[in-house]
Amino acid sequence: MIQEIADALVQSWRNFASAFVLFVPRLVAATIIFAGGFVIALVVRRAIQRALMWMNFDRLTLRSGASEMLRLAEMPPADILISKIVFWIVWLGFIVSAVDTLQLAPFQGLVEEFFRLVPRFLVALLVLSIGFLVANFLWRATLLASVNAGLPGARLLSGSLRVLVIAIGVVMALEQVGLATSVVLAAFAITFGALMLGLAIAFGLGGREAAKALLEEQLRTKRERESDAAPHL
Amino acid sequence: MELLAPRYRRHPRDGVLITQLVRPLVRSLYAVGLDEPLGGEFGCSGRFASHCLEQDIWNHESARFAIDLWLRTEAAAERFPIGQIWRPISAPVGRATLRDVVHQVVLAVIESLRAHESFWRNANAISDLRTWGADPAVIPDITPWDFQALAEQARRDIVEITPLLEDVLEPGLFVGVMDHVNGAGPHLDDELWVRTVYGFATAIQHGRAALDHMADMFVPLYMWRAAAFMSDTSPESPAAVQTRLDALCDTFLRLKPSLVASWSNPGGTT
Repeated sequence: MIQEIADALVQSWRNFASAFVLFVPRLVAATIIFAGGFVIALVVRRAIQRALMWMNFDRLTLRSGASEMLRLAEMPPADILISKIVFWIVWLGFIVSAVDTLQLAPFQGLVEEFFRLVPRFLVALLVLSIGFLVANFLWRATLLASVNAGLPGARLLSGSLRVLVIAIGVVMALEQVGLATSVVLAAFAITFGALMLGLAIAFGLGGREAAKALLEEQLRTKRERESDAAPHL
Repeated sequence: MELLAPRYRRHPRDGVLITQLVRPLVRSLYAVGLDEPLGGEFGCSGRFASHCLEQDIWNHESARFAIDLWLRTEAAAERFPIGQIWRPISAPVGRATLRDVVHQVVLAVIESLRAHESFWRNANAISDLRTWGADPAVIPDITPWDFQALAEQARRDIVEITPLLEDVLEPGLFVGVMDHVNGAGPHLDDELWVRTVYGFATAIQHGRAALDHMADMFVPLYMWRAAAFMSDTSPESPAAVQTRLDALCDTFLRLKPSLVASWSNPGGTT
């Protein structure tokens, strides 16, 4: 009986020792990957930040309206944000590799998952950036066209369009990442549909007379607004 | 002479777009004492016509409108001898809206500045041009127009596009313009007006917004300045108004170094 217990303990110890001998080099390798990855990610972050500064990226974000959005969201400037995102992507890549090196059963396939997600995440960021650019361009164009045409509420109209385009960009980006796709899409469709329906009902039923008066006033004002250039030439 | 431009005996309060923007700008930047940088009337030599036909301008937007401005600035920049001739003034042909005309003039001015950058950056003292013909001497009456209505329209438009102006103008300039616009009557002093014009030129050059958008943003500012000029000069004699016009041209010339400095330097200020 005692002999059997001793054999079991010895066997257990041998198993532990052999597992430990196998695990320690992996742990050391994982630690090196983890720490090395941190250093590499820091270097990449610095390089990206300098490249963005050299490209005058802050001006581009200012023009696209992204700077304003980030400021309202109390987030850092776009060049710092991008370099931080790149830092975390690079370091997360190394962390995932380090965990994979340990060959722990629950984390099998983590690397494949990570590298499947990264391109989607980058595409989502691109979609979001393009959304900001398009939204800002349309905002400017609509505001100027409305002011030139003498439309009332030019800022409201152009601002609404800007918000709508940004919202579409955000929804597309979230869909790309695969975050709560159905919920986001459904929420967007319901909100957008309700808004349009509400506007249509308000305009068609509630504001028929007001709309008529508005259009008549608009046409009259437009004629008045079209100042003749002759006295200026 | 290779290019002969018309010279009209105008009332100094007439042709506000010419007197408040195009004439002083062309005089100070191209250092040429042209009276009428815009207008379809001109005569030119075959040599100058051949030179113009060889230029890469005819597919540009400028060739569609305001080619008259480009012809004059091209002659100045390429040092073709320019002269002027007294002509009776005629009413502008067509019925263009003020917005369209100002928009087109902005595009044409920018096209010229970009094409002749190496010339105007170094052009200094304004040279007087020889004038042929007989000076009509009699100053014609000015056709009255409602500048108060224009001022109100400009004020409304400027307030609407405030966020856009804030984006493209330097903070000090923006605040100065808005202070004037929010004041009681239409007023915009010469120095602030010239800095605004140069600030817009710089902003366009550095691509702070699309060119068409910038031209649209400039329109209400011009309208405000035009109304302010008409308001300020309404009680004045033609001689006093002419003195103001000369002073405005001097201001354009005095502040030119700021445009030269900021034109090729995105971080420069006007």
